[in-house]
Amino acid sequence: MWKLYYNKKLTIFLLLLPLLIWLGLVYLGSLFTLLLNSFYRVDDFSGVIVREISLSTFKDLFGQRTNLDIIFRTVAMASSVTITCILIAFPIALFMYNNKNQFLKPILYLGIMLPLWSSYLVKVYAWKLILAKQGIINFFVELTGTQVFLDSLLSIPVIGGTSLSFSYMGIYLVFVYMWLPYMILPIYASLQRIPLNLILASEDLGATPSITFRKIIIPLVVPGIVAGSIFTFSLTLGDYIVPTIIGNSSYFIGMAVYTHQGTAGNIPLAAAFSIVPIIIMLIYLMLAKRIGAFDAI
Amino acid sequence: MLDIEFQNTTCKFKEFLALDSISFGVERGEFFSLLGPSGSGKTTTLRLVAGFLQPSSGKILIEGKESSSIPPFKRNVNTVFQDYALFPHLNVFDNIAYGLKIKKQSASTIEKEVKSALEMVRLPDLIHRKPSELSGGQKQRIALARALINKPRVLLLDEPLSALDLKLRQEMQIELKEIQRKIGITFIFVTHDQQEALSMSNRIAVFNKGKIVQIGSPEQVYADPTSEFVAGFVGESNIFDKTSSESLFGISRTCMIRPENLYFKKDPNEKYDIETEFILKESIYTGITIKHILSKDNKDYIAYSQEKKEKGSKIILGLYRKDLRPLSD
Amino acid sequence: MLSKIKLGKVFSTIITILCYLFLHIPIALIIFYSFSLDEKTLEFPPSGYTLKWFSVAFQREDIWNALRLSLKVAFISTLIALILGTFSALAIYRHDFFGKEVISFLVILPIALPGIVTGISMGSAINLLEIPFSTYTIVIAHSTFCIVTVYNNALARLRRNSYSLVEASLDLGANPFQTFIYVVLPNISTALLAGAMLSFALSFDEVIVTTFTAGQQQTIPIWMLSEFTRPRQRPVTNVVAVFVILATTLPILFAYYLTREESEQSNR
Repeated sequence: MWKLYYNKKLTIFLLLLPLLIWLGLVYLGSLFTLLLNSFYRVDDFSGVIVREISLSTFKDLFGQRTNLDIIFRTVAMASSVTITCILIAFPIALFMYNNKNQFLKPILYLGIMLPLWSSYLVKVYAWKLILAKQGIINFFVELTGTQVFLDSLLSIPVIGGTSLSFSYMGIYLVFVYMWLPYMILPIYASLQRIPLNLILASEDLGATPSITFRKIIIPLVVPGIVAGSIFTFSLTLGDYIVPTIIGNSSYFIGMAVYTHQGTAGNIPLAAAFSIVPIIIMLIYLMLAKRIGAFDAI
Repeated sequence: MLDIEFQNTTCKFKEFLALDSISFGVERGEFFSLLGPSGSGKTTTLRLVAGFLQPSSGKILIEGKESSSIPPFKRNVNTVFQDYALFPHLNVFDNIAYGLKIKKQSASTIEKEVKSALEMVRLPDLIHRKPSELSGGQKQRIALARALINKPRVLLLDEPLSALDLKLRQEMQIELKEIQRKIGITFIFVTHDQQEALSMSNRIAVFNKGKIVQIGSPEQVYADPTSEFVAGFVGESNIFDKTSSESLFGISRTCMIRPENLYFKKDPNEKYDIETEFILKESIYTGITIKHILSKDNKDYIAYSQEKKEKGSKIILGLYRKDLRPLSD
Repeated sequence: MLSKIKLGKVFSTIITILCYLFLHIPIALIIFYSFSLDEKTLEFPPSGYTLKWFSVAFQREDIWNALRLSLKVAFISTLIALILGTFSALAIYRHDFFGKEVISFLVILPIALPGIVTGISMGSAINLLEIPFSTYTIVIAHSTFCIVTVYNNALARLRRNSYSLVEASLDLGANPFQTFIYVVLPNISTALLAGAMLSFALSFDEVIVTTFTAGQQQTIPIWMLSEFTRPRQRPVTNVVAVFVILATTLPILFAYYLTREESEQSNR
């Protein structure tokens, strides 16, 4: 039996076989059926799925104004959330990186890890309570008399709404909250990965801290920023729960997929909708790989 | 009776030829060293005996039986690794007992054997320690005990002393030799340190670039090297190229002579077969003696003496023909 | 120059503190709310404080059912993820072939693609194959994205180990199977445990993929989601939320300390 010991290729194959079956067959298979579904279409009259390959579902997807709106809305939200996260996460990651206090180190790190791993739904729920008309934000607004400020914010067209808990601003706030840790950690990791002697060499060659910062640190941190943005972008693109709970019933991609795949719905269209984030993310991932962001995950 | 025999054994990794058709045999009870620079194939040879590698062609015979397809856990051979490879999650007792536990020996046998193994390496008190609590020398001896307790036919040692400091290394060399003599097991010992090989072995196989360039006793390899490589690798040597040998000695081959066979002429009455003049370049104090570097015709040579000499001075060295070794390269 | 740096430091300290508050206050608030007396509204500040909602939650049968299901799914998924993740890491860690990149990519895909994509594809595949939705369909879905936590941890730990330990075991007479049990497994056990903790937390909290692959049953997150839209007793939801926070953060803390000990040891 152990004669096979020297056959390394066979051993590797046997060890990998269960995984390949599971992921290859089950997972990739499912993805493939999804892809396949997007090329089918729903017969307009009977509502039955017609299993012929055609692009008509995609025509519907990109042809109808409402659908395009949904896509643009989602991408716009994803982009603004990503940018905001980058702007906030960067100083935080820098702070963690510059911190020399050994006692503070695990506290800072866990302070990011724990919210990251805290239950997703609980966090959304918490924000629902916070943003609600009777919630804590309103409480402080009344306390500090900044009602006017809040009202004017809410009256900004498009992103405002009847209350924070039913508006784009609310959605935006919650997304930033949810994904912030996903942005902080990769940036922090890539900061840590900068070899110390590069910074020392730069100082040795006479550069001021701000030049060192601009020319050495920032370029080396970019992969981490890109890695974090992969998370924030991808997570926002596909999320349907936050816009449902916090939103003003305007649709995002995730919600569209969810609605259309219901029994009375248009599964090919749902599939087509979900192809959009896949394609966006694949392109994004390819660009990110070029910049070397994968080493920072 | 040959415990280990290689017959035209070749080992190739993708494009790299690690061993180029080598053949040799190791007798029962020998202390056999594989000596050579890094990458010369000596560790590959060891791993072929242990069973971690298979030859690309040729035969490997263990106790007369063709064994290249027998996996390492079925061979009657044990290894002492260069990094000791003690199991960090087991204490000393369990480390040493590992082989016996696998063979399902009884608890009482195991306890007896482990205790006597520890006695043999003179570390009876360390029985409950973990490897992380041991010093380098202690780890090495525990690794030895762990291998020997299985009473293998052949023990393989992969540069086991290279991580130890000089004093400890010299002590261990003596101890290893004693242990080997006492139990009579065949040792195959890999090293790049020629002094180690010379002091411990019954026979040495000198490796270079995947080939065995010479096999012999330490005296043979030292006094009668067959090639310039061996001459230079084992001990210090002076190499006179063809032209110099012709003009100085009348021999039209590359010649080698050991530095200790070049004598500083003190008394004009001393009679040497050949005397030549050199210029002293540098003197290096080594404690035991002074190593002088002398040059002639733009080449450097080495000689020893107890006296200091002036740099740049003209020195006359004498030698005897019997000490000259013409080389085949 | 000096004052600029000082200013920068003060600025980033303030941002950091604000940010940490931002991250933690919502969660603290939930815990706080679970003691609130109010039933209907989500008022702040609450009209009073009580522990009664905890006992109410305790008696709700639907919560217990959801909890049982969540735990069952999490345990089984973690088990499957452990096996698949460990085997795959074992196959890969010594070699550097092209397939290695593919495997790593494949393993991370379920968690990298948006949940809704994974959810809808697995859901429609199950539909297509006319398999009834049950606990097992949920388990299949969860294990798929849990593999990566075990795989990454196992891979990292295996890479740090010296291979000569494996060779020593083989040399001493243990066959590969025995070597795995007696030498490899003990040395990666903490990494596997950490991976299992992460996998458990991941599975316990997952809602999007679960929605598509569950039948009529509810896991805790699904229960919570239905409570958001058609709440029975809001404060009870808060109580469950507190419990969920504990159930997901405690394993993470544990996993953190497990892997931190190792990285400290390797830096020694």
